[in-house]
Amino acid sequence: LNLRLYETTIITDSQLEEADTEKEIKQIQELISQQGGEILETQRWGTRRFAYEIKGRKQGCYTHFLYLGESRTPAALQEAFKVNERIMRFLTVLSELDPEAKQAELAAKRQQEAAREAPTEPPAKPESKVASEYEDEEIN
Amino acid sequence: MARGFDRRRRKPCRLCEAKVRKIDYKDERLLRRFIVERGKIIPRRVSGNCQKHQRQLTRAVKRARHLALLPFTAETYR
Repeated sequence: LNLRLYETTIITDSQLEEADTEKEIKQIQELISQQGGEILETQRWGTRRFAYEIKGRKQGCYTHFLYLGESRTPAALQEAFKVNERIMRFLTVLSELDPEAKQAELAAKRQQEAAREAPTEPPAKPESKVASEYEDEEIN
Repeated sequence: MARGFDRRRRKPCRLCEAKVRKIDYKDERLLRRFIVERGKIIPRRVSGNCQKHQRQLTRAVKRARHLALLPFTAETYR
């Protein structure tokens, strides 16, 4: 089976109850699994201000999924998102990460967490590594 | 022919210098550096980006705009 690495970001209404937001996320995860996909990572970015208003809202709740899936998966998700009014925006792209490297990295992280056992909370997730060490400089 | 135009030194691509491989649409901090206040993407001739990076950049900016991470335009200017 030919699986590819996709990433999907969705924006849900930030006025939605936390439980409802969770439910939406669960539903999406289930849908991906149903389609024969495998979710590698689900990241909640939390509520962020929009750069411009969407449907009269100034902020929204962002969730980012990283998963392996077949080519029909993004299409199925799109159908689901379109009819779901709670999802204000979504974006699915082919991830440019190397799937195997990413899987290995996640496996290592899981092991680490398991080794540390439950007493302490898992460490705050690191900012996306893509945020290069590129310094702040003005162009022009 | 010694007009400034063809004598001007080509700016090095700063993304190449920083060894950026892939430009990610989620990397708002990086993208912000390549748009003007108004929200426009800074052209290659100004920023000095190489073609490869500029292509990646425009794509990333457009994706980020879709997710409202970056503005299409800044209202404050109107």
